[in-house]
Amino acid sequence: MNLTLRIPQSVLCVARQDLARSHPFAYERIGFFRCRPTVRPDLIVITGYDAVPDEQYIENSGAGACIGRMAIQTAMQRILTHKVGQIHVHQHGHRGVPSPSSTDSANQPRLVSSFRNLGPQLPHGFIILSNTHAWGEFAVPGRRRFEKLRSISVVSARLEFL
Amino acid sequence: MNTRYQRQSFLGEGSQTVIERALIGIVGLGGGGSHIVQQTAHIGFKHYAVFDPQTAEDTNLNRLIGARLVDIGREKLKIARRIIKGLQPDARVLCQRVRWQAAPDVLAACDIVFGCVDSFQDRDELETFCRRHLILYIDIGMDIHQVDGDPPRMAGQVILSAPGYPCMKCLGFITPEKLAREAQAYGVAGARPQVVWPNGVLASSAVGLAVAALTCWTQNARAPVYLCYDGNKNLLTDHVRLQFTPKECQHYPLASGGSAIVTAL
Amino acid sequence: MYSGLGSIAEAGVQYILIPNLMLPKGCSPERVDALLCPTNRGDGYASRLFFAQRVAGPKVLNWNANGVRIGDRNWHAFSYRIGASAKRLAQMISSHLTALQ
Repeated sequence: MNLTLRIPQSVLCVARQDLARSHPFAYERIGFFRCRPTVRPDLIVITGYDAVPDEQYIENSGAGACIGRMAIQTAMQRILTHKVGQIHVHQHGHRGVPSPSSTDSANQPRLVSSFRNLGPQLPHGFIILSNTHAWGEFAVPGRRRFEKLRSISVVSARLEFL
Repeated sequence: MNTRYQRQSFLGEGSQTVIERALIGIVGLGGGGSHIVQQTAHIGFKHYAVFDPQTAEDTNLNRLIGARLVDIGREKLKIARRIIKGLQPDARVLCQRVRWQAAPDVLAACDIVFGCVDSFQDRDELETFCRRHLILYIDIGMDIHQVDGDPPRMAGQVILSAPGYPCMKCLGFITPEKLAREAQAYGVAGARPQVVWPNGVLASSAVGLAVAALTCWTQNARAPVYLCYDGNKNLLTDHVRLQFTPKECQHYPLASGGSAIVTAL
Repeated sequence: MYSGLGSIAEAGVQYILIPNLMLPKGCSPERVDALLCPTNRGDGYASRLFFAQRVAGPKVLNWNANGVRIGDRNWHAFSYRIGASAKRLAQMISSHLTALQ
């Protein structure tokens, strides 16, 4: 599957600004994109972004950032209330294709699987943004295995491919 | 760079790559759509989804770009495919001999959609679909009105509708009055006057908008674009309504993208 | 009376989804998914009932909305105006269905 994500530039801007902010103790920030399925299983559109408040982070020297139960519960509530998928996102401040850390690879699939259990008809995933590219994996309705993100289209008055 | 595109290198480094990567949808392959097919093939687009259930008729030949006398009775899709393949033999052309509503999954894959349709209802539906799927939508159309005692009035439009930005309803181009009049006149429309050159003006502008959106060569991408064509004066200008248009779309909030949500009652 | 109802919003217009609506006697099919627009959606009708497929009935109707895409599905509707007195949704639906009787 050639999984494509489409995101409004205004939403991406808000996300990047939030994710670039410093945190009292975390090295990175985490946020959640809201997403919706479309008529194609390989196309997901992003409809919004939710920041994780400072107080919902947990100190963890083994990870760049760690969010607590409240942040995850809030994300799960969004699935139920707004019928949107949740995409865990954080950002690496370099150019080129980012890659997941061992912590990411261990934890994110479990989180996304929890989201899928709550909203199986919705796509959920986790992505890592760099300054120029993105990496991600998604649980897509109807597919057992996670699908790798192939491309992101950033849409505004112009169209940009990440 | 392929020397064929040397003369368009001003579009910027990497421009040909993004052009070749984009999937463009062309809905309607008549007078306007056939121009778009031809120009995009020349520029180097390689991925197409084209929609038109009709065959070429004798009365189309005054404006159907690429059509020959022997094409009467031939599917417009085949004429379009021939133009594209003649310039881009390796192009992928998804031919849909149906209304786009019968193949929405194909249209959804497009990065940019050109709407070259006849009715406001069709435009409204296309734009709604493109907004849900975060697709740039470029609409063209022309009409000729006969006013008693005066020369015919030739008019048209080119509209770029981008997600988050004012839509054709915000621009006052699609209105309840126009939709209602159209619904009342269903089946009574008859043959509308059409000629080749205004279609060319409008289609060329539309293609220019698409290339600018992809390559950003003007470094001034703007939306919405609402160009109004006065065919009697040969003028293409910003529509005056742009001055009074809200900054954000009042009808398609970004939060309502994706498949429709059915809320249980 | 109607079960499984849902609402859909599109371009600022609200629609009511009526799954498996039972149609008047003599119609084919007997049941069909329907979509009610209880307000003027901008096409000149104060309200409109759409069907997931064209319905054959005892009368010849002017099906002037064919394959209209609303909320990820294609819908069909005939031209019919109901009286202003039908204000409740159930009244609107049954008033529209009288065109099929």
